[in-house]
Amino acid sequence: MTPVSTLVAGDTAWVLMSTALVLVMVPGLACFYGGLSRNRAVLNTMLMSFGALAVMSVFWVVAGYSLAFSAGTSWLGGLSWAGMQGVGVTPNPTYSGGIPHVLFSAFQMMFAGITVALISGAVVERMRFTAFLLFALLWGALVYVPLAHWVWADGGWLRSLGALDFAGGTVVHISAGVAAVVLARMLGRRHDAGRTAILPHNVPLTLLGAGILWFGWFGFNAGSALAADGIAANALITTHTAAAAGLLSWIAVELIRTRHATAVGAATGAVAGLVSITPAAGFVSPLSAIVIGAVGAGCAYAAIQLRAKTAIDDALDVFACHGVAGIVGALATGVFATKVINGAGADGLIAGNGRLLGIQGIAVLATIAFVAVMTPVVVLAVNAVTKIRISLADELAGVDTKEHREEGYHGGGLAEFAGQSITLGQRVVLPAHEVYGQALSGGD
Amino acid sequence: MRLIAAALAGRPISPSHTAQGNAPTMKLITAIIRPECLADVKAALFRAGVTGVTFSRVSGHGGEREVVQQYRAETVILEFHEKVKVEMAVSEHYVEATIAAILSSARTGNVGDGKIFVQHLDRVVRIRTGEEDTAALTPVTADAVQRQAQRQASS
Repeated sequence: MTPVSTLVAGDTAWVLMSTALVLVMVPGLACFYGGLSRNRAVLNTMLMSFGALAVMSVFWVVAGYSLAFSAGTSWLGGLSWAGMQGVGVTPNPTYSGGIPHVLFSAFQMMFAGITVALISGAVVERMRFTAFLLFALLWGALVYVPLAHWVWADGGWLRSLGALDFAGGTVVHISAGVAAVVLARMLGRRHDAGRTAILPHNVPLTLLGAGILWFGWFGFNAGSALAADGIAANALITTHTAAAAGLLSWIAVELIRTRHATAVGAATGAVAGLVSITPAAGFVSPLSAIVIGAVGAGCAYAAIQLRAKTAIDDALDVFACHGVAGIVGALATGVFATKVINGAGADGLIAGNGRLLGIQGIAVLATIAFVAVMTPVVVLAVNAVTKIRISLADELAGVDTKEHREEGYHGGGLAEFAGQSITLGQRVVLPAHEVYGQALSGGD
Repeated sequence: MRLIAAALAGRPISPSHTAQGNAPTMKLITAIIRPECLADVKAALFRAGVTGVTFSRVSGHGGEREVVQQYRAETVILEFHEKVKVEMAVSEHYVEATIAAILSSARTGNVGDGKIFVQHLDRVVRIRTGEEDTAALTPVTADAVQRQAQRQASS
């Protein structure tokens, strides 16, 4: 390899911007998930996304980036870049042609954060927050980091095999989807799942979240070109087109089946379309993106209907939206990829190379198998340290008041009716009758 | 007739129907109406001179069809309908006018228009002055109270 790389200002500017765009997907996801949860769990739901980002970001600097991308075996990187040692402001010829090495690392850091945040949608209303943070750390270290190494690192075995994953269809979406369904299964259902209708408490918040995700996805996919070039532009238009096609596909199915298009459905369809184009964005044409987005959303719709008939309480359908749509996208990359769009990519089935589809299939199966085996190990490890599930009483009262001692929305306008009490000093909170009792008996 | 019915049912006989005889008769009118009729009902009540009104958001079950909603794979049947409860305490000679006002403004002709309940009131006290019964029911506006206070202060 040639160690001669000079920094390109345009590329650097675009990836700086893209890093911020991927970051914005985390609050976007928090809104998307928060709106879909019940009102008494909205804070816990949103906080899991922020918490996952924080945990993964710190871990990324300390060891995560090194284990994922530094030279090691074909299965895992080494520790030569631990603590960002040697990750400098000049380009690294292996990973970051025209951008600072440290910027590539920061861009990848956001991906690690959003991946773990995605999983949180499966466990809303019933997981202990500290247990989730510990899960985020261990899952990031034992599942995300090796996967990222396989697919993206120089010498990673899937990359060497020739598997294409432009922006993280396998590493981010399939892995998060599979982990979500495993974690939901091991955690158990919410006490009333399947017995009562559990409805989104704030659909406008979900729509806002979907919009922010859509916006941030331009950084996620077009930023993955790591340059301000034609590939980035192609990724941007395929990303947008697939989201639009996913939205239309979802509401078309709804109109046929129930005669009404729904807002939650439109938002979900757009996100499923975005997920399915992720691995393909830099390798396929905008016309192919229409098919990929539409099929991805259609399959996610079917998966949600089927999931509702199972006993697995993947509460916000992370597996359907990210796992299933991610698998569709990874396989579709093997069908629609063409060197006409991206010379550094490969030809797929339609361009006459059926072998790519086989490789994509291997990448999908390897990801599913690895995540399905490793996630239970992580969950059992967390459970050995701390209880992962809140008590039934806490679940009935609401995870927000019990886990966080705060509420997203206080009841009514009448504070007295909400039972609001008097705060003494900075910390002590006493019921009003006790305060009055103290006053009557002459204070303390 | 009402007296006899009340006695038969074992209910306490209200003071307004006791031997005092000339005690004023007051009624509590409670109406359940459609939320979309609220603006019209308010206007009709004000035109009829009923200005002391309490509204609350309630939900209930009547003869209406259930509403069906769809969220992803979740189909929900909403069996309760959102309604507005209107409560008015009025003296006897306002009762018919109040009922007429509500009928004229809350009726759409479809199932679910709601109901009007009329009950006896034993006693009414205005918290500000301690006035009782009909005196407590006579509408007084904040403006009128203010003007009166100013007159007293200047005289």
